[in-house]
Amino acid sequence: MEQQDFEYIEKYITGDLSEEEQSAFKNKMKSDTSLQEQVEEQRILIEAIQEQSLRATLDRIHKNTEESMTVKNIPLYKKSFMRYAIAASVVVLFVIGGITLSRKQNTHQKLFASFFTPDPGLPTTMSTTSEYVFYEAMVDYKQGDYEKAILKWNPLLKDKPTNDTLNYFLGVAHLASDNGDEAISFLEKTTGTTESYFLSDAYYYLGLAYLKSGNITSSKEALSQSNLPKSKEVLSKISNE
Amino acid sequence: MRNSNPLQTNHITGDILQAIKANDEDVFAMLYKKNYTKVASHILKNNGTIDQAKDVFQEALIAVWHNVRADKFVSESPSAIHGYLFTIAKNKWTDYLRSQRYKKTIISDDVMTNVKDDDVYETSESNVFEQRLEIAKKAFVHLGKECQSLLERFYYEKKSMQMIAQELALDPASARNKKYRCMQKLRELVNTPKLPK
Repeated sequence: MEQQDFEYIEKYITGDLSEEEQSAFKNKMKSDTSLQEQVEEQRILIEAIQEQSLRATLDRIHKNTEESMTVKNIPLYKKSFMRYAIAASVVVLFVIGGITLSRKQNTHQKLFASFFTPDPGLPTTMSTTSEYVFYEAMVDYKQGDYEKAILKWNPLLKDKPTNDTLNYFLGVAHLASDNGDEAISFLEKTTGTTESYFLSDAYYYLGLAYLKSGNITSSKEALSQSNLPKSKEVLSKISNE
Repeated sequence: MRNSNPLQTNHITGDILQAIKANDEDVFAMLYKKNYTKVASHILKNNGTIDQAKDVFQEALIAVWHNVRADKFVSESPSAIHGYLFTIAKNKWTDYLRSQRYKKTIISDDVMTNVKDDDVYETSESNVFEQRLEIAKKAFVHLGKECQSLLERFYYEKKSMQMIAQELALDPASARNKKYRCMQKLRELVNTPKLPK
């Protein structure tokens, strides 16, 4: 096909011919089956280009969506301001929720309450199936449904009893649902591993868990193992009493 | 630039269907973000994998795009598009499960009657058209990157040849000539009996 013919057919398809030209072209097509076929073929090519371009666009969008949800290996305390903003809003919710109001609070529990905010959780990734349950539970966790999250995470321990991330979040979730003793046993599994990037966070929450239970010696010990600024802050508050 | 949060832009009040017809990437991203997780969790709950979820979701979105362009979807409210997308994805997954489960067995009429096919993408054109389109789609993938990019700009992004010439630092005549040659190349690939892979 010559370039001229090609461009004319294209104009016909895109509706860029004048009315007169359009009807003349249609008439010509009626008696010219090879022209009919050329038009049909060109339509198909254009359709294919559009659909494949859309596919490429969707893949790009998918990648971006996934990237924004992928876990990155940055220590938690180095993460952006947003985490703390979210954490702060959780504090507010907690205070409003008056989780500990029904109890007579001693100073340690007050201190605990003023410091405890559950870890904001991990971004939920959609990259692998095997981790799906973990991240599904993470969604519950982030929504504050700690008991549901615990129920979903518990079975995963069977395969990965020493997984630091799993034990860490189970610990924090238990602490958030007022099960101090369970929280301590899970968090100690995480602090028992030396390589975890949750180590400092785990020690921090462990310290808070002990503080809540009134075991100040263990609390101080745990907090001193954590290099989070807020751990030092809690430590100094305990010591100042 | 548009509002950075596409979920809250004027697409809601503005013409979402127009944006789809114009292949507006923002509107696709918005549809993606708003519906992917829901579709994926439906498929994962129903014996699917995350890769299948991605495929089904994208096929459903492409079906929505086809139907919107063919004016087969007329929305009463802009948010209806989300339900429409989810329904198509769900139906596609149901169809897939049925085709697996009932493969090589007798298809029971009872089972098939409650599937609503109307929502699934159908062209008014014949099956032959579909088959030829499939071949052309494969051919496009094997086209050189330069040609792909030029054709995408013109036919998908709907940019003018003048603008494309500028973007590619070509004079308008050679840009037009290049587009013609790229289309010829694509036509040849389509008519090659066996495409690699």
